[in-house]
Amino acid sequence: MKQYAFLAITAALGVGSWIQGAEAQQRPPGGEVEIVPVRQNFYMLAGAGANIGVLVGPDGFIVVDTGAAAMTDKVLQALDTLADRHKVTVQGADIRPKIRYIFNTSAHPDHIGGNEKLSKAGLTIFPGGAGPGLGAVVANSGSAAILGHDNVTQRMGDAFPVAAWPTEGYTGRMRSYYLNGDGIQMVYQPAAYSDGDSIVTFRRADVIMTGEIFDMTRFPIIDLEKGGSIQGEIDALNRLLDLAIPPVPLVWQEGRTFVIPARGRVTDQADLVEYRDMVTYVRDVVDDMIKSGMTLEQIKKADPTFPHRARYGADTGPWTTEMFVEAVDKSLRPRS
Amino acid sequence: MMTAVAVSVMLGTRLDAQGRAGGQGAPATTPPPTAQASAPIDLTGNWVAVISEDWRWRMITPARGDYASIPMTAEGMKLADTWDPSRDEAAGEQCRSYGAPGLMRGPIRLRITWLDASTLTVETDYGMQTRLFHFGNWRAPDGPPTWQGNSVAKWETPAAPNAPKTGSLTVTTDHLRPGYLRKNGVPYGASARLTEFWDMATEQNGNRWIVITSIVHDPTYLLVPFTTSLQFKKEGDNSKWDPTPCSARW
Amino acid sequence: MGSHSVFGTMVGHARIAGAALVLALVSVPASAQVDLNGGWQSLQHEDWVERAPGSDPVDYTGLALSDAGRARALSYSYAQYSLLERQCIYYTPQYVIWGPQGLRIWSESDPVRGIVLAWKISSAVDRDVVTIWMDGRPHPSENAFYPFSGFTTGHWEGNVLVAHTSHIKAGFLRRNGISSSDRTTADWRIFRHGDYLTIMVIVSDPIYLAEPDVVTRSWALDPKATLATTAAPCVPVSELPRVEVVGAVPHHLPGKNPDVNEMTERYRIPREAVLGYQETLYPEYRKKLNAETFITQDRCKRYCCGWVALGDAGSSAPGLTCITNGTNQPNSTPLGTPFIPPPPR
Repeated sequence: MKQYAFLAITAALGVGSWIQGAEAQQRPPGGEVEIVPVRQNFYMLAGAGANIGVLVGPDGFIVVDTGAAAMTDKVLQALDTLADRHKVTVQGADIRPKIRYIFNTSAHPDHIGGNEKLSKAGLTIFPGGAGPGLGAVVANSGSAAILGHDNVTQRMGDAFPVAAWPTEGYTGRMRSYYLNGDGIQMVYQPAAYSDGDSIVTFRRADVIMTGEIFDMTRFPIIDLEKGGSIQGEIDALNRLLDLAIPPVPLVWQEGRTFVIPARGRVTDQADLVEYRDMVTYVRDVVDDMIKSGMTLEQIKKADPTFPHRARYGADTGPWTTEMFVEAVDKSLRPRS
Repeated sequence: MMTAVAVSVMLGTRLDAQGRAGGQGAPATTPPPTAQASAPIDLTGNWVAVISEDWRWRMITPARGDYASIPMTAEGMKLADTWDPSRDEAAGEQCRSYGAPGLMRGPIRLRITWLDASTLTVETDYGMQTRLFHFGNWRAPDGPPTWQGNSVAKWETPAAPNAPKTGSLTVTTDHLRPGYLRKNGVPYGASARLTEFWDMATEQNGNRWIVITSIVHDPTYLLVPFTTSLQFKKEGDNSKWDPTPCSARW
Repeated sequence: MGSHSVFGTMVGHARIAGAALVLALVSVPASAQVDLNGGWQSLQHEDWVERAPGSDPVDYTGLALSDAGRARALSYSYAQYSLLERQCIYYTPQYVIWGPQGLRIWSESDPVRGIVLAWKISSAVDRDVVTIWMDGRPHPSENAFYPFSGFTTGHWEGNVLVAHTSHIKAGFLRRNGISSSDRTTADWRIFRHGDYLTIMVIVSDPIYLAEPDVVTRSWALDPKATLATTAAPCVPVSELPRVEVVGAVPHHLPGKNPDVNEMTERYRIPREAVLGYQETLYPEYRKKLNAETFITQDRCKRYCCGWVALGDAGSSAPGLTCITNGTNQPNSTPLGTPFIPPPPR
């Protein structure tokens, strides 16, 4: 033999491959929805417009946001895959989880485009609600319920069919639910992206869905027409920091709160700090420029986002750097 | 009773077919390959030092008394404190900081070629110096110490018959004329010895690097061996080769 | 007649246990590898100022920063470390080469086949363990979480361990605020020669670097090294009341960094080098400076010696002083017993 012999020996002893390795999570080709495991019972669906969160359990799927309308079919396919993964067999019959609740973090089209189809693909938690009459109203005609801040419904208005509107609106500071063995809270965050933003927290899974408040792919969208503001955005980021628990004091441990942004990867408190600091810096620079007497056009030319533009900026698309600067400026500039 | 199990235990050694012994018609023995022929890595070409470390001690002349990072003895420091570039110029010793131990840390370009099959030439534009790395059973000639000293080189190759051709170069240099590890007079003496390990790294984008681990022994002036590492990037041509003579100041 | 060379051992009456023991020993694959296990003592013979006391606030020498990287670095305020939420954030894995610490390297093996599944580089007080997976696993999706350690895979090229790290969080390239983005990747080469270990790291950041930052460092094997494999716990502490005002993030506005001229004034280093322009990394930059235009500072006044032996029996030097700290005052306190690495073989 001229070769090392251990291969022959292992073959002879029938030793199988031991290596398991991490699950090969490869990003699907563009236009596909990727299922990203976050916890054993929590997934992020990426690539659907905005990120979607899915809590899986005996009550079914609790879904946060529904993505862009154009991606709804792909989202449903991904949920189908998850249903396959988490089905249980009872007396020979497969019971596949269904969508039971949808939470909307805002009225941004990337977050609510799939509301109607996903709701109808789901199942109400209220019994006997498929028929006409009051029962059907309560039970959303058998479809899964949709929860959002009251302002989400206001903002959706006529641009969306009624079947896409939240079936349950809330006002006040928050709304709490207990589903799939987890405490879920919709926490109202005023005047961030808009006047209808909610942060969704999952206590047991220790996951936070941020909606448009936090976006790893761009400067935060601030919709002044819909009641957003830069100060509200920064307040929201600081609130998220209050809620996201870092791995302290045992920093090397894996345990921590996972934070799922509107777009981009799964993050944690450290990533959130970076983003908060960036937004605060830009706010401070614009504020200083306004106080020094610069006009909006002069501020745009001076590019207050410069150190961060290469990472978060965009010159084209639905939300450009220029639009962000303008929103910050208009938020801060004293009204004459 | 267990059937005897033939177990080949291979712990990094080669199963070499032993040559035929004696007998009629013994084949002529072929000479071993030359250092050039057996080079596991190709060091030839033009290389540039990328000064990403110790910038203000390597790219410019640091201040008198700036010995940060160098593990000097008190005696070394006392001598370094007497550094006087004018004196070095007057004595014709402008090249004190261009001796092998200090030269490689300078802002240099290298041009590496084979002088012959057993001698690798390393030229620098900075200071216009030439180092000769001798392979095989080279014996140093008699003579006074020089700035570049006498360098003996050997290839180090992994002891694995099926490994891809790769390896490194080990160079030991002594018989050095006293000089400076740093431009501002940090000394090494005549008994200093320089040991270098030259490795090569190729990036996925094709960029090639020489990485040199350099160890200077000088028990008189150094508390512990002065150990540093340097990197040189391959250049496509010698268009930036810029020979400059030794300078005691710059 | 020819002879077949069969190098091996006939093991008669071998038991399974014995065969398993032999199997455990037979762990060397076809290509060569070296053993990296051990405690490796840091040899701070380069960049001692950066690795020990820390760089000056605006000292970007030796880096090729992009314009964005430069602007980002200039906006940095050291007071950011007083933010409670920042105090326990680890450095990114490439800090292996910029920190002052020694390393403990160990392997984790397949208990059946004995092959190395991963090499691990110990953490430091402010950095996570770096795990270099050797089992061919792919890197995770870009949408997966980025841990403090990043995600690293490796393979052997002869005697050199070659590794690639992705999934690196945003962090710092150096401790004085030069940032690295979360688009950073790091490529490693680990060379061992006898009792010396040299690690080369090529840090690529398309956001903040104009060209990759290439750094090499050396360590020496120290059988007596007692290096922990996990970092110390971290508890945030209130330091500056002002930064506890919610939303206060210390930074410098554009053009307002008060330290931007310090390196030029102190060391006469030209501004473009201080600010990390790409051309300053290469020897031809010296054409812009020469003995006529660049005047060396007369005498070192701070951090003049990282190492010095004062008063040792073999070479005592009464009255000899050296400035070892950030003041311009002589400090004759010896720095403790230095580690003496073995001679190269």
